[in-house]
Parts: sequence; C-alpha cells; structure tokens
Amino acid sequence: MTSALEGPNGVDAVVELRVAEDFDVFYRREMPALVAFARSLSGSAAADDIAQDAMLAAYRRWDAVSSLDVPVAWVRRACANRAVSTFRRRAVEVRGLRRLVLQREPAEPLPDEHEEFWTQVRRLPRRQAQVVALHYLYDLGVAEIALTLGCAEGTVKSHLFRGRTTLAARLDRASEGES
Amino acid sequence: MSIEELGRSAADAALRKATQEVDPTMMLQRLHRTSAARTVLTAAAVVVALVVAVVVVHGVAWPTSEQPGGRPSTVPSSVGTPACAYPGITCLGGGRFRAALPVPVTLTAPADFDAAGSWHLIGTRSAEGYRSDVDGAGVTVMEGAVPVRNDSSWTRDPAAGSTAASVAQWLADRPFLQNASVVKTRVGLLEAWRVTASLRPGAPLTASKDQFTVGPTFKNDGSTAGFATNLTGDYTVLDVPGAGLTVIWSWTTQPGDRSILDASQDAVDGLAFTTG
Repeated sequence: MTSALEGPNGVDAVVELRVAEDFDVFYRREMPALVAFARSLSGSAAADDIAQDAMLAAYRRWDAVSSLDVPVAWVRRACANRAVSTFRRRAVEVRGLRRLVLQREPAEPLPDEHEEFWTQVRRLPRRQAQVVALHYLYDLGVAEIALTLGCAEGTVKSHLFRGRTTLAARLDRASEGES
Repeated sequence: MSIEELGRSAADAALRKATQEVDPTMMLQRLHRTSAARTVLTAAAVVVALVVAVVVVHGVAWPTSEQPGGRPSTVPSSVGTPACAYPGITCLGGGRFRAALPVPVTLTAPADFDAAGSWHLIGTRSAEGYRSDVDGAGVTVMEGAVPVRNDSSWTRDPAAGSTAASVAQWLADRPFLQNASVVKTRVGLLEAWRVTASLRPGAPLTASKDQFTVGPTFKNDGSTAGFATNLTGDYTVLDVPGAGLTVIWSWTTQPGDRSILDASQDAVDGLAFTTG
C-alpha cells in the first residue's frame, strides 16, 4: 500500500522524514525482542530476516501502522505469521541465504534446557505456539495476546492451557497449579 | 521447576541473547537500504514492462531491417539480479531465467514477481519464484511430479493414471475440493490441463506439510503440494518429454483472494520447457 507520504514532492518528503524518524525509534526499541520472538517460533537460521521482513512490512505502511492503538501488536502478528508460514519463511530465507552464508557467524545456542523448551514450543500446533511464545517472551496477558493475534480471549485461554499442558508433559514438568 | 518457571527462564535467556546479538542500528540501516532497493526495483520493472510493450508494438506494427519479421528485440536485464548467483539459475536478460531442471525450463518474471531474489531450485526437480507485491504467493514448477493418495503417506495414488489428462481429472475429483474445473491449454508448444478449485469447507485434511495440515496433491524429490485452509492454488498439469509428469503450481496463502492467482497466471504462461 502506498500513500502520499511516498510522493516525490518536497512537502511529502518533510512528512516522510518525520514519520521515518518515529519508525526508527520504534524499530530500535522493538527489534531485539522481535528477533527473539522470531527465533522462538521459527527455529530457523533466518529468524533475524523474518523479524526484519515484518519490520519492513510495517515501515512500508507506517502511516497506517503508526496510527493504530498498539502498533507493536501489528508487527508481532506479522512476525508470528511469517515465522510459522512455511511459504513466507521460505521466501525470506531465500533472500537471506547469501547474506547468511557470507556474513553471519554461527549463532551460539541457548543452554540445553532452554533450547529444548523452544524446540517443544515449535512442535505445538501453530496457534498454540504463537500464544505460548507471546505469553512468555513478552509477558502478555490473555487480552493482549487476543489483540495481537486478532482472536477471542477464550480462544487464547484455550490455546494457552493446551500448550502449557502439552509442554509440561513433553518436558516432564508440572503444569500450572501442580507446582 | 514448573513449566511456568521454565518458560519464564527460557524467555529471559532468549531475550538476553537477542539483545546481545542484535545490532539495531546496523539492521535499521539494512532495512532502509532494502526498502529503497525494492522501490527502485519496482520502478525498474515498470520501466522494463513499458519498454517491452513499446518494442512489441513497434515490432508488430513497423517491422524494420533491424528487426527482421517484426519480432521484438531482446531487452536487456533491468537490474543486477542476485538470482543469477543461485545454483542452477542462469540469467538470460529481459527478466528471463533458465532453471537447470532435468528438462530445463525458461521462466519469465512478470513485473509483480521478485526477479532480484526469487527464482531458485528446490531439490533437483523443482524451481520456485515469489510474488513481490503480495505476501505468500508464488509459482512452483515440479518435474517428475507424483500424484499422491489422500492420506498421510505421500505415496503414489495409482487411481490418478499415468497421463496428464487423467491426472488433471483425478485432481479435480479430489474429495477435499469443490468448484473444480479442468481446462485444456498450452504451455509453450505442449498440451496442458489447468485445474482450478477451492477447498471444500469442512473437508477432512489428512496429510502434514511442514506445519500445515493439507489435502495432499503432488510431491517430487524437493516439493510437496496440497490444499489447506490457508493455502490454495491453480495447477497446470502436462507431460514433458524427458521430465515425465510436470505440475506448475501457482499458489497463495490467501485463499480468499482469487485475484492473486489470476495475477500469477502471467508467470505460468511465461514458462517454456526446452524439450529435445
């Protein structure tokens, strides 16, 4: 989606500069956690590019996204969709492939216990994995997760309960209320 | 440690690691560069499309000695194309690429395809490219495609028969589809059958494709295809001498928007197989 902000004349350029600056502040604040979110859901070497792709999508329609009550919810949803969609992820991975090969040092893995936790999160059904990752990584409540994913609070509660129960069983841990 | 405590601990570790490793300043600069490059690329693609249109019109209307027979001249590639560096992809100029499949296929990237970073091989028998103007849409060429059973096995369904025509009808009759149609067409000089359909609401989906639950259709050594609630596509089925059954799968993850597949048809129509 394009807007007058992208027009070539001087007035538009001034407006674009102001908006771009706001985006930059937003980006610097949100990007590290968004990368962690993408990594937790995709487990892919190209997770950083998935987060970047979500940010790029926000940047290209920043006039609309920045006017939302919670702009970061839009970006988190975009990232969540890209991270679990094989097709979108593959597109991003292809674009990032050469950069990965040429520039990136191999990432240090998390401690085994934590790596196993995120591995099991990724084995959950898509929606459960998104809900669980948002809950733990961003410390979001049911209402905030529902807003982020665009679904009912009851749905979030159900996914969160099932996700945690499954994780507890697979990781041999007590689930909520049992500890 | 309960699952709640483990989750919190794992989240803290993941956030700490990302904060240490991510350089927002560098990544932000890269984002601005990418955004600018895509804008230039889009503009360049429009210019090339206009040039091609002008050349075609002039070629047909005013044949000259420089253009024997009124054929359009070759249009040079508009941009440096990283796709040229992908293994098995050769850039031919004019937005055309040749993919080194068992029977090489020439792909012509329409303006709405991501020519700069898109066409690539998957395994040895598939090539795939992505739309640049919408998320989650592209075209996959699958040579040596195998029609698969409607279960989780991804094994050949003998009921499909062995010709492109029979396989197209078999596809249209899949129990998880509705509103299916089979239209005879051509891909280059080869006869083909295009199947359009949509997922039947509530149909049981029996197979797993990555993280999707799908109604399975085809596989080869690098790709699988199917229908899901968030995945639909048009299939063009043909027999390619030397490659066997070949499927051109134009897909999108936005099943509600038929216009996406309609717009991708240009890429399908621009395919040509280099048969002996």
